[in-house]
Amino acid sequence: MLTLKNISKSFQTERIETIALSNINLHIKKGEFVSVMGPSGCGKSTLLNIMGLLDHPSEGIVAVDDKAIDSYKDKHIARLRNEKIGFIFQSFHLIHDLRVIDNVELPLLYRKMSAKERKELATAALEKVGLKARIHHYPTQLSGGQQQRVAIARAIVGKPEILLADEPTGNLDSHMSDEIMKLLETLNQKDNATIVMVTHDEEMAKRTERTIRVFDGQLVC
Amino acid sequence: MLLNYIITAWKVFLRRKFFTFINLFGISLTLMVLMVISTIGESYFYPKGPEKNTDNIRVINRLVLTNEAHNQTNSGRLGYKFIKENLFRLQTPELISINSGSYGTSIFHQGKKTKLLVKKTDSNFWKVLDFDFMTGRAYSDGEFNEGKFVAVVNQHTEQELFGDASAVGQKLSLGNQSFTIIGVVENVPIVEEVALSDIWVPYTTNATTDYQQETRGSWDAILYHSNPAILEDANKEYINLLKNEVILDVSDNMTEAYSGAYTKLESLSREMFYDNYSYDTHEELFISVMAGLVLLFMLLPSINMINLNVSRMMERSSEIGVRKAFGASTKQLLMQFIIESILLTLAGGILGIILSLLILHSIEASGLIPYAHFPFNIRVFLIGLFLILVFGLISGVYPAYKMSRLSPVTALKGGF
Repeated sequence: MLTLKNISKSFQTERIETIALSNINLHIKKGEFVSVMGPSGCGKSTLLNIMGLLDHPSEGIVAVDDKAIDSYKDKHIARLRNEKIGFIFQSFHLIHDLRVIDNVELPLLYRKMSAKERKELATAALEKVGLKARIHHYPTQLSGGQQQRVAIARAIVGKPEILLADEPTGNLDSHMSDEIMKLLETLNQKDNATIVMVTHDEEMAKRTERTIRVFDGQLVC
Repeated sequence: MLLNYIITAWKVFLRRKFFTFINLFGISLTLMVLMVISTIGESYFYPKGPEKNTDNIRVINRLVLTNEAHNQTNSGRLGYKFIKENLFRLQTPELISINSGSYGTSIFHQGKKTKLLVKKTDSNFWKVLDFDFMTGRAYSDGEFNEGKFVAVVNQHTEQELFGDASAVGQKLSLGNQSFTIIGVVENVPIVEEVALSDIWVPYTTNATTDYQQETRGSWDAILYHSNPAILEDANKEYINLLKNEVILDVSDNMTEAYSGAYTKLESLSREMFYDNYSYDTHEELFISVMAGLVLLFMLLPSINMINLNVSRMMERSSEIGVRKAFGASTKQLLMQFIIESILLTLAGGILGIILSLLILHSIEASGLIPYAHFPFNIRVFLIGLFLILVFGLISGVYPAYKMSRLSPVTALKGGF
């Protein structure tokens, strides 16, 4: 469902050019749970950003459902992100002055949908992550693990085909990390969600179906 | 979607209370000053009092006399002799009215001293200007020609001298002369300086005729035509007369005369860009300078607000990143930020309008500007609304554009 062909990414600063990714070929199948591992600065997050259409590759083609998106305009890419992709970030990225329910509703704001429908879907997503009782709280009133569960509810509320998680347990203790991992596993197994997860934790990676290793901007098998 | 934009904007305002306050303060203060100035300007350029037919009149209130070398120059108001020998030869105006200009005088009435303005006029004065009479009437051509001791007073004078009693029919002493009041008019706002006075009497009641020998004096002339377009021709005729056929006092050694029959705008611009030896009133320059000043006045707080808005971007960059990641397009974010900016400016603008109405009301009530009357005016309101929108756009669009174009990756990292 998501294909990267000959992807390279370089960043040009005033004097030097840094190559973040070089000639990456990757295919993510529907329903897969894939982990991405590698040392810091090897290009994992850049890879995830390109997969999530947050960043453009310098070279190569990104295809969603076998359609290359390189000629798509901002509006079209925004729609793809909205409908097909859900993001989970290491530092949660919740908007602090929005209530939990409003944070979860956020992706639905960019769809043609009534407020009532949005509320119903957001409540259902929060129920799925076990936080229905907290819908009127603000993010700062929740623990780290709970905040990440709100972020997961936000990622799944629009029923995207693929979830991209950038070190989702990186800011959590082992107990909370386990909780989040279990939640992702349930989403993958029960709802058949496709998940790509960047992680530093070998134990977490072992729990996924496939691990991609990145080193110096290249895939190593 | 619009409702969502508005709700989000509201939440942002509440989130950044101090920022919102600073923004509102800046906008409302700037707009208040502009609104007060434009209201006063409006009442000057679009009078509501006796000069409400301002399009039908042009005023001659300045004369520059000089010799050929321009090393001996006299400037000031017009003398009666100059008016009689030159102005009265003009063919274009339907009517010409002259008056002495108003001067302050103390009136003693029933043991009480009151300081009032007096203006000596002809009977045409009441035809070329559009006075509203509360009671009584103006003096007629006959009364003027015969030098009858009759007077018209304003409401203020009636109130000051006679309390609640009617002034019509009462006697009024000016110097050694006693006038019978025959009419009472509404108070004339101070910005209507051509009509302005408290008491008006025929100049034919003057005790002496010395004034008839003066080339320069304290006289003003008003040219009138029922068709405003023809008044421009009257000015041309006047300037042509000054250039080619002017009659001046030989004993004065003055050979050149500079003057003009001005509209309100021309009078003001001539006062500002004073040029002794020219017939030009420089009103284009005046308008440009005024527009430039207004723009500058608005630009400075706008730049400030752009700065505030851009720095606020840093704090909101993570939110921008999240919104983009979850499907907000650049256009949607641009709309969001522009709506935020316009709502904030609108709130500041409404506050500014309310403040300016309060200030204008207190100027009226304080008597700081005599007979000032600044009613709520739809034209000023529209000017205000326009200024608000310009302000909102100047200060909002650039930061909104910059914010919305932020790359989601950069935004999520918290920088730009």
